[in-house]
Amino acid sequence: MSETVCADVSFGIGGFAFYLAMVAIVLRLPWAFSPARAVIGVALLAYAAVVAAAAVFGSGGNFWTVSIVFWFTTLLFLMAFGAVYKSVSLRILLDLLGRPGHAGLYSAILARYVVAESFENRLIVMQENGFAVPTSAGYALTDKGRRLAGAVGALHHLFAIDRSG
Amino acid sequence: MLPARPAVSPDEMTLAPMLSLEFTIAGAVIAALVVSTALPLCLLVVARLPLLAGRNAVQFLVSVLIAIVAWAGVLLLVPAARPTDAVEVAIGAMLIGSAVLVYLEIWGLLSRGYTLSLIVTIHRAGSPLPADELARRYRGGEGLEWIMRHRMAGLEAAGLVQRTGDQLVLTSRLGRAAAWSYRAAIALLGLRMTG
Repeated sequence: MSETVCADVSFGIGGFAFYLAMVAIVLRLPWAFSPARAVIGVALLAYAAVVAAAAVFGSGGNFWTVSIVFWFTTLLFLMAFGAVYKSVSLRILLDLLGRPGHAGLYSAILARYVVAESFENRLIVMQENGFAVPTSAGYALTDKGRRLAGAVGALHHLFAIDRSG
Repeated sequence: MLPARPAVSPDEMTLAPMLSLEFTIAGAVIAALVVSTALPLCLLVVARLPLLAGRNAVQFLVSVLIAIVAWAGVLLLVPAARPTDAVEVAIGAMLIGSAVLVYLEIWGLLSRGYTLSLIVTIHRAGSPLPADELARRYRGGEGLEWIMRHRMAGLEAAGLVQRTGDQLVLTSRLGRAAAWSYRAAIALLGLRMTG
């Protein structure tokens, strides 16, 4: 591997390490940002810093190589982060780990994770993001919610997705 | 006689090498970019194959495999895309990998997105839905129970849990290792709330 390519890869991987450090700090700050938004925002800032560093400290480094190495590793992390942050399955495993004999009633887990927490959390998410509002007749979509549902419906039709969820 | 003025001032000489980024892109990487861009089109065709109807994960996997084979074919058959070294192949592969991760996230949301599915369920109903009715109509009438069945089937198939009567039990090795890893990840990231 040539010295330049080696430096480009180092910038990409170094940038990813910098990003991880920033994420670990930002997620511990008592801000009101949602963790999902924070990790994406920090990724964009870290990327700008990496490109700037490669331009200033690198000797003729390749923009594409630095970018691809940075984003590939960062996207791998974001996928894993998404699983950690949102996965109901992983939360069930953690719940069982803390129980005597690492076992729990199937019906109780269903009630807690699927009905009580998971479902109700999604209803809150829909309201917080302005997609739906509770009315006397039940949950109704807002204009924003209808636009989103229309776009999703069109994509479902385009990709022949009959059922989702 | 005055000394000849340098063509570039000392300031320019120090600044010029300071901001240097190369924007050339190798043929193998361009081929990877083209293949990555075309992946949704491939998915569009694969998703309509009767043999794979309703199997969203398999549809995505088949599309990715086709994209990889197409890229390999271009590298072998198109002289301009032929890689000069292994690094170009690795960078191209990372580019396709990045695109796959982005598409996977979008595909996952479209085919498995919980919140999106609830929004679509209300939209299809055409009128407001109470929470219990929304839960009942979820996923075309399969209801919330479907999620639990689906998740449990996945966890059991992965060897992370097993069912003994009405109990759900964490498996001694894989299940505990996954749960411990999850706990460590939450602590490392400093997440206060998940789910």
